[in-house]
Amino acid sequence: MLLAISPPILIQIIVWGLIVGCIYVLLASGLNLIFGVMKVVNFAHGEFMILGGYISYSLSIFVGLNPYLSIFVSMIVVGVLGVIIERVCFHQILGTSKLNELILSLGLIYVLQNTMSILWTDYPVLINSPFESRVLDWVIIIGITMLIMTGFYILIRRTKIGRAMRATSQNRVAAMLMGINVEHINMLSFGLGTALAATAGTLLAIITSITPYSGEIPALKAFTIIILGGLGSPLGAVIGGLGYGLIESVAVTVLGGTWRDAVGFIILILVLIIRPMGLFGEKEI
Amino acid sequence: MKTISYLHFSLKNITFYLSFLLIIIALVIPFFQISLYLMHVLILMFYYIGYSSSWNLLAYSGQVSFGHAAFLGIGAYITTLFTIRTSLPFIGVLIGAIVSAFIGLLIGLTCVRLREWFLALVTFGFSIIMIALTIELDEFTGGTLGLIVPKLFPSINQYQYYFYYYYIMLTLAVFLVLISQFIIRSKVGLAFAAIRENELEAKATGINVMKYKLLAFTISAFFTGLTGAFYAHFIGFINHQIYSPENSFWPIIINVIGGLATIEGPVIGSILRFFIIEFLRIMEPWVRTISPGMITIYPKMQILIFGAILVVVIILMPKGIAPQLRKFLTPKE
Repeated sequence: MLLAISPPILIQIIVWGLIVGCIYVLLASGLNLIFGVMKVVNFAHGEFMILGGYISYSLSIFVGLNPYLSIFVSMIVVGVLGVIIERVCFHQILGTSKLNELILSLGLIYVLQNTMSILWTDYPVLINSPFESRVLDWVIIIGITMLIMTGFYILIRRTKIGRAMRATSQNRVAAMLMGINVEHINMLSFGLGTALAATAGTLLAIITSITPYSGEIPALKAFTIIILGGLGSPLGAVIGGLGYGLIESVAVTVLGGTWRDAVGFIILILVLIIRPMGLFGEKEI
Repeated sequence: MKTISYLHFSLKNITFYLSFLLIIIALVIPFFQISLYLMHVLILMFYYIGYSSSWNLLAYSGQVSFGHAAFLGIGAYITTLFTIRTSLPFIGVLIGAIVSAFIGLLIGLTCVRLREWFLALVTFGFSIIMIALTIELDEFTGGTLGLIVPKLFPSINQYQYYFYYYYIMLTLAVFLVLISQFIIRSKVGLAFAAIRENELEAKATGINVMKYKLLAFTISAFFTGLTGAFYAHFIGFINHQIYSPENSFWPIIINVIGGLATIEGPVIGSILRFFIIEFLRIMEPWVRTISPGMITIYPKMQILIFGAILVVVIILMPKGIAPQLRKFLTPKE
């Protein structure tokens, strides 16, 4: 079926897939970091993303800041909010039932969605790019994603904080015994994860319009991506995110928009039937 | 010691009297000429009790489903399609439940080897796939426009319909709670609990883990389909929204708030959900007098407050309300 598509359209599909993939990469990497360090799944991750988008939107409207620069402001704002939410909410239920994380996230989803809806109303919002051509936008989006992901990689791999984060995600107790302040690492990774989500949100608001409710499904897709890519594996999140974006883009063209959300789950189910522990997961007894 | 313990009410007695009282209250409520709206909300409360009890049966075997709306919707759609063609709604409800159980068995087959988040996401995926399928097969299911569901039985007016439906839903809820009690107390329930606590140990003691996991899926899907079918005939309209994530998450919210893997959990959770939502609705005129400008955002405020309550309850009571209540009701030594 794909062969019947003419080359220019094929290129369009691939480019679109890459751009959507960039957003998934940012979203999934943040979620993955939080999961890796805290072993908590933050289903409200999509709401942090949309919040980041709205903050950048307001900055570009009221301050006139270039949306690509406002990414850094919204990163800081959402990151600080993330730290606060980690302290007040997630920290309290660490170590209790896994479902509690879900219910807590659901509660947070309701709170964040409706706060955004009160502040910015339900009308779809689009950040107007300062550039004339869409192609330039796309190049910048891919560039910014690469920049931020490189920074993220350097932070995780080359700095002391990053090493502490990796140590905590490998073995919490051992990390604690080595003198790492695990609580600080929790706060930091949650803040960093939500900051990455804020970046994704700003980029999303530049390429398509957002509403307060458009974060729910992307968060679950990001979760699918990190499960497929192996829970806690940073490279898996990147490859998975780009792959997911491409597959979704192809599926929407071939099967139609109805299948946009379903196709990722079909792949997930097929993969898990063959490998119940995920693509790169370790086999358990 | 013996004399003391028999002077006290035992916990079993207290719960028995309490549930007896609740059922009596529920039975007499419709005779007080309550409004149609209240009737509607109460029927939905019974529906949630039934739905979450069915979900709980699966969770009792240690398998947490994030996509129970799939079974709910299959039950609802099958009974609708059957009733439209044959106008035999009660048989349709039963067929809906059976088809749902069959699909539950199939989904269970893909899920038996999965754990925790993997299982959760796969079940969630099935409900999302059902949305796409429903929209795709629109000449059959009505697509996004949906279908009008025929009434379960003829009635003179809306009130009479609600009046009888109230008792149908009440019976369903009580039936599902009792049947969960029966299953959980039986040998099968013991096997479910063993699998939930430690799968490997359960296997070692000779429990056929695969068989019981599939059984849990099938039973749970059957009752969820049944509840969904009755729900469809009550609401009178279905579309792809029945598979929405929100519909899948309600039983989880209700069960976790009420108390996971307990029989009274779904009941407590559903009643609490009813009171919170109705309380927020009753507050509306009060909000209007305080600040008229607030009224446009009040619907959003309601959900916001509900979310905040959820967060607070989970932080304060990570195990849910039922264990706390049990502790409170147990006589102290």
